[in-house]
Amino acid sequence: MTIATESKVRAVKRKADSPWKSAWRRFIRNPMAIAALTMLTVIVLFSFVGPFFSPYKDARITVKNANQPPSAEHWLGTDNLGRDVVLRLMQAGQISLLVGLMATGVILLLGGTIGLVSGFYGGWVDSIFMRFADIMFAIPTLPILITFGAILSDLKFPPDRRIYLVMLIIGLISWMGLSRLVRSQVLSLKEQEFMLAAEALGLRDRRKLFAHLLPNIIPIMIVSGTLGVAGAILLESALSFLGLGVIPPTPSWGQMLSAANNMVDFSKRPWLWIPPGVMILITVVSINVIGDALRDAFDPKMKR
Amino acid sequence: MFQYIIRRLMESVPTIIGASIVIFLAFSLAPGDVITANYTGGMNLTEERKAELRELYGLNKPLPERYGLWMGHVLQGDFGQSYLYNKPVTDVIKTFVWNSFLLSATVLVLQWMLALVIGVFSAVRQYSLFDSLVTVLVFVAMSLPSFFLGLLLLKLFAVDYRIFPLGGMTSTGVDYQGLQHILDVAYHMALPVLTLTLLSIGGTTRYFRMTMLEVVRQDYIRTARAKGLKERVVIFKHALRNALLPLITLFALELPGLFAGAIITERIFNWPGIGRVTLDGLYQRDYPLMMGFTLIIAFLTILANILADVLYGVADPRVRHR
Repeated sequence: MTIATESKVRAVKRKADSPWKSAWRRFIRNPMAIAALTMLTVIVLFSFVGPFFSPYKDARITVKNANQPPSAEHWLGTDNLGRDVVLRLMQAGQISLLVGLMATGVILLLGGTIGLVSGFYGGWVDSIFMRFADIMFAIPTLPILITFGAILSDLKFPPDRRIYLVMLIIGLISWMGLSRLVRSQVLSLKEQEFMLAAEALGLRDRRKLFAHLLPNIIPIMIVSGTLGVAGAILLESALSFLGLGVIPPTPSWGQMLSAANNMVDFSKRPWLWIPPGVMILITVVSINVIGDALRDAFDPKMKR
Repeated sequence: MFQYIIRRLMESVPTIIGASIVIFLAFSLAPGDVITANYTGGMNLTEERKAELRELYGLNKPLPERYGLWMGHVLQGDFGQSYLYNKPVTDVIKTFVWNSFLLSATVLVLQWMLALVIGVFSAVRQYSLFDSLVTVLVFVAMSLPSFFLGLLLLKLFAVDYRIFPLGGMTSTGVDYQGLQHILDVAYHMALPVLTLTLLSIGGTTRYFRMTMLEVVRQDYIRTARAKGLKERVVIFKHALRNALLPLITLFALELPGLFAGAIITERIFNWPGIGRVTLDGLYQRDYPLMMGFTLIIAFLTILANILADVLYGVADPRVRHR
């Protein structure tokens, strides 16, 4: 008898999973998401752990090995300075992934804060922020992005610090989508009863914002953030391809692809620019699939 | 409806002014100007000569005054003089924008037609092999970096197999007329159009599939089937028409893109469009050209937003504009 009740209690407990747990369960039931997650893990390991296993990690630049086609020693050949392309791909991956992540950090911080504040306070604060978002939306992304890139080139920033500015710029021109999403979510949350309760309890604004509203918008932030990483990696690679983003000696996948701007490298040495392109493609596809699966997982109503 | 349009237009005035300020600031605060740009950098100008040139171009005045001057001229339809082409900015844009338009319009038609067919079939046969394949390919298409796809196609079809030309809009050294000229341009267009279509088709297909999936679950579709209508009529006449509604917005928002040019693709295929011209303008610090072009696109984007809302209201009577 007691055992039966106990198991019943347990069953009830199991039913009341936290939203996080049930989202996670829906996520891992999606085969495409698992494949993408595995792929992404492989890429991250390749970029960050791979260099330790490369026989060329301490190799000096020897120009006499330059521009070799793929061989047993150099799986993807060497570049114009005799560097091993596989090792270069790993190092470039670190930069590309980092730029994507950090730029997304900027987007989440800016877009999240602006959306939260606009939605919560409303009134003129909301009008100003949303009007500013409209303005930023109207300005075409690529022209303004390459202009900022050109400004960077003129400022003669040290190449190793330049990547931080690239992250910042990408973040500064792509926060608007998230801020609108968060704002509309906050507006609908404000109408719900738990916010009325918070009001009735006389909670301070800070507590309402951080303890009650923020946890509810985290799912959107996660989904937008994931998709944002993919977008940021694409933007960085476009900028670097045009020679306006990450510049040598710092490598990034987009920067490696700019080798294709040279007609000889483009037509005769495809091993210099096809591998970084494939890396970008695989990474961005994986992240997009994961982001999409997360959206389905957090919002089961959306799914089919 | 008329009142609504007027109100929206009035409301967008501050937005366009704000956009013009942001654009002006971005280009004015940029260090370096046409005098220090690459193509004059080689010439050794004395400091006095530089100052003279700056005065000539009005670059030595304070920012608010320069903005006022620029906006004053813009309102009269004068976007200033392009340094690079030594012609009015409007003339430069007029010369090149139609080449971009030709490319983008072809892509837009192909993209929407293909996306419609693929999206509808993939939704009708949900969970089929075709549908899964489409779902995967849509992700790939959405994730392709434009320059990488362009370069791959160029390498494959122009370098390895010389089926298509390496770039440009017409064959050099010959002066075709009439039909031959059209065929020549079409031949040069093939690769850039393929690139841009592949890039844009993913998102649109996804939308078509999504809205179709939503519509075919509605009661009126079940009713149509219960009436014994042919499946083809149900899908194309009853379902597709309703599925198209939310896509009107998407379509209207893509219209400014017709004039914006494709900076990266045009550069790779050396297409003489407005995108390539802007990029050259940027490298040469031809800021009047960049500013004029960016402002026009911003303006068109704002108009397209209004158009999207108005069209949606016209097509769907359930949406009422106040």
